[in-house]
Amino acid sequence: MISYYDPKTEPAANQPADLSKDLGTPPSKSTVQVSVQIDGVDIIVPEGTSVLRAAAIADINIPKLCASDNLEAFGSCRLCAVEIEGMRGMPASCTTPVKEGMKVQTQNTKIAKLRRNVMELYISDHPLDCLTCPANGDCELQDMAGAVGLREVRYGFEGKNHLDGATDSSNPYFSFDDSKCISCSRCVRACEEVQGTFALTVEGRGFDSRISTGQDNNFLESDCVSCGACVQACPTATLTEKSVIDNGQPDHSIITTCAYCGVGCSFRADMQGDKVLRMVPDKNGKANQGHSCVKGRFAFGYATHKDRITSPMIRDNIEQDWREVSWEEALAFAAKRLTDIQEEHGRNSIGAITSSRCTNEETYLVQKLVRAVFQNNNVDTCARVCHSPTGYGLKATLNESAGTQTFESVMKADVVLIIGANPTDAHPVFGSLLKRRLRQGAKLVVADPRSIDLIDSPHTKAQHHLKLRPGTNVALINALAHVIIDEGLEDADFISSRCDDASFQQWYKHIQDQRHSPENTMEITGVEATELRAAARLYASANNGAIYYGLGVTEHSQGSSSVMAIANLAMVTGNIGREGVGVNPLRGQNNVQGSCDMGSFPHELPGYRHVSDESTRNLFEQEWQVSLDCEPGLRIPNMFEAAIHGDFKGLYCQGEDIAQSDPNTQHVQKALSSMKCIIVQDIFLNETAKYAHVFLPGSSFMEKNGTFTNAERRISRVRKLMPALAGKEDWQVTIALAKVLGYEMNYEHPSEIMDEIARLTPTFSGVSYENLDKLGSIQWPCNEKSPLGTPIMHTEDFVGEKGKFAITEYVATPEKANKHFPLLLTTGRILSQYNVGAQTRRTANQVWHDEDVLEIHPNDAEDRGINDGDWVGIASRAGTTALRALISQRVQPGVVYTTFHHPLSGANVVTTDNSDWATNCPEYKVTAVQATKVDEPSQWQAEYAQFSQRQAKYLKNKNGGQIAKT
Amino acid sequence: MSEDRLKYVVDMANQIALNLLHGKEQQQCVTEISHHINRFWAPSMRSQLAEAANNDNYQLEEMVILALKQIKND
Repeated sequence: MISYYDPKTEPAANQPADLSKDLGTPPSKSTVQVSVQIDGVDIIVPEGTSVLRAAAIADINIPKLCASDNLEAFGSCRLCAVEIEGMRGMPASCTTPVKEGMKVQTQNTKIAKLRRNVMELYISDHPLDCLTCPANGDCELQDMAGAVGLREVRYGFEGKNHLDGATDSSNPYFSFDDSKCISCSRCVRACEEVQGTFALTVEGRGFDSRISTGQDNNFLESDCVSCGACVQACPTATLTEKSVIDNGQPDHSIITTCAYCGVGCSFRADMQGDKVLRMVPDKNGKANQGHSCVKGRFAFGYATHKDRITSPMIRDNIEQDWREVSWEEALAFAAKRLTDIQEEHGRNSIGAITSSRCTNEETYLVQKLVRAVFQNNNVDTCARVCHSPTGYGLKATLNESAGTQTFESVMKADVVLIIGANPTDAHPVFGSLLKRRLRQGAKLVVADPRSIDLIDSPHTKAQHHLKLRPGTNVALINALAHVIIDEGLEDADFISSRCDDASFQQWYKHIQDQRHSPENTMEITGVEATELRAAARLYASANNGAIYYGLGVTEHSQGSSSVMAIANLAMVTGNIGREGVGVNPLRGQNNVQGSCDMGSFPHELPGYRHVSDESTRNLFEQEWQVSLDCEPGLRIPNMFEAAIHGDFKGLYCQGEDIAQSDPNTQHVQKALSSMKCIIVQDIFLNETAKYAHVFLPGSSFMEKNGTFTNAERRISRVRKLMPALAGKEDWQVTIALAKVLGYEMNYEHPSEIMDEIARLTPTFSGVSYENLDKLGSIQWPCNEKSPLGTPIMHTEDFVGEKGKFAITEYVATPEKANKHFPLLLTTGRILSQYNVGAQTRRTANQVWHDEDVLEIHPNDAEDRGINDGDWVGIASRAGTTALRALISQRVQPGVVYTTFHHPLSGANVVTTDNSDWATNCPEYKVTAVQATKVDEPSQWQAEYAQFSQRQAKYLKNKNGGQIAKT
Repeated sequence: MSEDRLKYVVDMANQIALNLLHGKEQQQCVTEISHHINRFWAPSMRSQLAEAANNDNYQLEEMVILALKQIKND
């Protein structure tokens, strides 16, 4: 039996009763309060509040159509007209701000007549098909017609009208029915104000006004990014989800958290029974504030895709048919193999990988299984290959392995420095918030080898694009710091009061050396000294300067140095410890922060406490009733290396696809093929599962309870929407595996796992499901000192210490271009796809990106005789693959770019084993390659296609195959 | 022990040294290298590093050699 949480019917104790109410206009930020009287009710609201909003707060609901509290007041529908003492006529309450002593009347005969007349005009040009309309029951126009008491339409329907308006169904997720449009322009304004894309416009004037995607194209071909803001804003059935058109209105809703990127958007899952009808961004979600992107909003269909595997499977070796078995048999098979391996090869010959796509509770259990049951510390997480340098670098400087701010903080930033991140593609909802701030006048500096959209978008332009060469981040960031010191732009008070003097003095001596000057680093970075100096001045002179960075910083041989250099930059300018500033890692996957917090690294127990710390170990030993290893375990690349050399034989891999996501694919394949037992727990037979001996069917985020922690350290509830298709939720599978290995984990519900985490982890001590339900979400640290959580870190100190400057010398990557490999390949992500694509490739998002392509500069393409769409062989020191060419000015000459969302693209066949010096995070962002025109796939692609075909056959035979007797 | 395996840890150790040796006195540098390896490397990898140090086929950075005395090897 599923217990549904519906905020509409079960409001948390300290929240207003109706959380989803649209108050008509945005809140005023004024601190001055004014008193007004509306319909005889005295109300005190901030100065600047609209009459419409003030009335709504007092539960006086003035009819409206063009107004919404996430959009600036527009005043076009005239439905919200009111009478105000001392004012002539009937002003629109949405565009009229309250004034001290104002007396407003929202209802009388005259107002009612006006509203009915307005509504009559709307309805005279609107289809009267309410009973068969998809929005029936969820239509503001219908509601308002009822609210104003419309009973007749005197004008008839014979005259000029829009009733034959066409329907644009080009978008895979929603349609636009022009005949139902009332031209309120809410969709246009949502696209501008909320999303910041400006894809929609009002075309024509007066009666001929109509919503247009511009240039006479349809939604699919337009600039629309399918964020869904227009659909959400539409008060009629004009813009409607196709799932609603096909299935009707939802019968209940559940608030949950998106399982895509590190923004961690809160969504209202609108349900029909156990079926998710649509995902609507939750207005009360503090990370997303009612906004969404194409992935979270629409691309959830993978959860019920036909490729889901819902029964456990086993096989003796990877060239055998799979055999579908019971949970008991699969777990017993897995347990015997793991036990046998440890007996033969030793305690350290097995390990596990946790996933940033799984919940905190699941991740916690996997690391517990490794430490308590496997009796070693060979546990690592996919954060190894993305943000492990963030964990290292921020801990070394700011004394905590986490970003410092809320996303909302960017709205107080005056200068934003983005390094190696592409928010509008990889963190789209934050990208929209940032664009809103830029439209308000904040300045932008982007450091990226490639031209990302933010550099030149409608109404936003970067002041400086530091188009550096791949692999030179440290030289560039050092040069920025050098300018700040050289020109006396440092914040001496902050440094003396908040930072460790010895480390500052050492760093100061280091950074002021002329070798770090922009003039001297220009040859390394390729960035003009004058441009870099101007960017440094802009950032350092800002009242509030904020740094946001992504994998373009971390996935380098100096990823950790870059993170520390960024922290140096923030500290030297005093840009830490308040709103509008900070160091903000944009985490790739939904629970990267959480998987790291939960002790997924081989050297750390939950809460970033080293395994060698006796008191911490004792704490866990008492709780878990086992003794724990005090030495670090193997990281993922170390596991691969040990596997190839015969020391590492068994792996439990939950929710991660290392065969596709990790670098140097052929090396990974060799490692996987060397193991005796690979257990994959996933919702699909992913690339890694093709090398597995045991497949344990996983549960999607819709099928379980738990929590995710986003890039702001915000812990949010994941709520079960439907029963687990495989009969077990992921946390239950780990418990069952532990049990057959002889260790009892006694939890009835994930909330009990969180209770244990809170008992053992000081930064989580105040976190519980009860508190999460009450507060909506909590940013850790949450403990006695901060019972409501900590939105902004380091406001007074750096977790009880001083901030430490780190010396970050630029050391060139060993991955060098030469005559054989003259180009530098850098990799990244695209809006419509997510990570290895296992989820998004099984949705209609494929329409936007059904293959990875190689972006190549026109000069480099011309030199090689490559045209748009040609097949291009990309060879590196690690391997060769082939992709279709996309000739693009986004990349600079000498640099090529691709994504890794499709397995057969083999982007990681080309990337190398080079990694960050401190953390082994792979250097995905710099690979020396040659590109040549080819007419067939690479050998790897051909062989892998055959291998995949065989694996598909083994899966198809899953009910008929025989397992060999061991 | 395969030589490639030893090269793997030698390259890693040398890379750590190259990134830590700047702007510091030698002793601080040596301490930071050993601290890093003790903190983050599994014992098996530390043993391989010790083995490589006794093998003329591998070139360890001077600072790594100095740090070896402080690197745990059980």
